Amino acid sequence: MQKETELTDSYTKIMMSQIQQHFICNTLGTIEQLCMEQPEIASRLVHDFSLYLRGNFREMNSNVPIPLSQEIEHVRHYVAIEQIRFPDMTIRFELHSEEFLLPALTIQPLVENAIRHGLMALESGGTILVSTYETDTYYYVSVADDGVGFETPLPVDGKSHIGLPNIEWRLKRMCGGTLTMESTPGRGTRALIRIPKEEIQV
Amino acid sequence: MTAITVDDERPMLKMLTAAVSASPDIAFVWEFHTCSAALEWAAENVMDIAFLDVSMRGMGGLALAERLLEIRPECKIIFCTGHMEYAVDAFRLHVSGYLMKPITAEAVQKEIDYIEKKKEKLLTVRCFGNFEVYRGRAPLLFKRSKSKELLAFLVDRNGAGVTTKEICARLWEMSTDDTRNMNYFYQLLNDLSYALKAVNAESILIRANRTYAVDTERIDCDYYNYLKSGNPKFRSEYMTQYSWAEETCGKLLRDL
Repeated sequence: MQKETELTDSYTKIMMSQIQQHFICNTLGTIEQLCMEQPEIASRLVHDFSLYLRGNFREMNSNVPIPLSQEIEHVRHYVAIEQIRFPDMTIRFELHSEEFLLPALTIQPLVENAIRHGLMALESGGTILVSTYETDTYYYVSVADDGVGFETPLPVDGKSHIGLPNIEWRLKRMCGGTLTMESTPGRGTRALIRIPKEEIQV
Repeated sequence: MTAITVDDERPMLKMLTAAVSASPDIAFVWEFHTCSAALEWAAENVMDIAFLDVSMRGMGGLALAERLLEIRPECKIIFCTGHMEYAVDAFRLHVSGYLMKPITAEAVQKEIDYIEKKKEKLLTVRCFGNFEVYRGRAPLLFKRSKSKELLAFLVDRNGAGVTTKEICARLWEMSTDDTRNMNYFYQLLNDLSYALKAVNAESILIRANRTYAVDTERIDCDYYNYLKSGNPKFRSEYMTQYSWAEETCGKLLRDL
C-alpha cells in the first residue's frame, strides 16, 4: 500500500512539472492565432492537445507499466503540438521492438527534455530519434538528439531537466529498468532506457 | 515606416506580420524566423521598427534587440511575448514598447501611434531660396553636388516614390539603358546614403524595388510646413539652383 501511494505521488509530481504553465499557454496561444488563418491546422492541434492532456490525466492515477505503443502514441501527440510551432524540428521513430511494457510518462518527458534543452538552444532545426530494440536479455529505448549537449555528469539543480530521478525511480520500481544519459557538448545527448526481459522482483 | 518581425514559431510569425502590415503607417514588413537572419538583413538594410518575440531559440529576443540597437540605434524595438515576466528585462533595454500575445492589429497600431508621436526630426531642409540641408545647424556634406540635387528632387516629390529611370531622365537627361549611366547613378545614391549616414539620418531615405522616396515625417522642411500651415511665407523663390524645380515654383506662385 505504501508503495502504491508513493508511485501515485510521483506521477502527480511528474505530471505537474510536465504540464508546465508555459507549454499550456504557448499551445493555447498558437491555437488562438491559427483559428482565424488556418482553422484546419487549429482543429488538428486541438485534437492532439486534448489527447495529450487526456493521456497525462489517465497516467496520473495509474501505477502499472503500460504497453510501449500506448506511450509512443502519447509521445506522438506531444510531438505533433511542438511541430506546429517549430516545423523545422525533425522527430523520427524507429521502433524495432514493440511488444513490451514500461512505466507511463517515461519516453515523453525524455523527448520534451531533448526539445527544451537540446534543440531549443539551437537557432533552428535539429533532429530527435526515438528508437527501440532488444537483445536476448534486455529491451532498449533510446532518445537521441543532435542538439547542444552538455557536460556529463548532468548538473543536478532539480529544475533544468524534467524529472530524470523520477523517471529512473519509477523504471526501477516498476520493471527493474535503468536510465542512463550520455552527452557531448556541441554534438548531442542520448537517453537510454534498459528494461530486463525477466522481470526482476524488487 | 518600415518594420521587421521576428518569431521562430511559424504560426505566431504569420499572425504578427499580418497585424503589423494592417497598419496604414507601415509601408513594408520583412519577416524572419531566426535571429541571425534578421541580424544579417539589418546589417545591410534600415528599418524603423522591429517587432521581436522574446523567447526565441538561439540568442533569444533580448540579445537580438541589443545587437540590433548596436547596428541600428534609431530603430524602435517592440517586444512581443506570452509571458509577463520578461517585461522587466525589456524595459532595462529601453525598448519602445511591449505587446502581449495574442497580438492584435489594434494593439500594434497603438504602439505605432505612440512611436509616431515621439518621432524626432532628423534633418532640417530649406527649400525657399537655395536648397540647403542641415543636421541641427551644421550643413550636410556631400561629395558631389549631384547627390545633393538627388535629395532635393526627392524632397520636391514630397514623399512620393520616384523610379531610377525618372530620376535620371528628369535630373540629368540620362538614359538608364546605358550601364555607365546606371553606375553613375548608384555612385550618387551611395554618396547620398553616406552623407545621411554620417549624421545618423539614413532612415529618411526609403528605397524599395528601384524606387526612392524620403520620409517626410522626419524632415523639418519649410516647403512642407508652408503646404500644411501657410507658414513660413513663400517669397517666389524655390530651390533656385535647380531648373527642374521651376515646375513646383510655378505651381506655388499660381496658388498664392
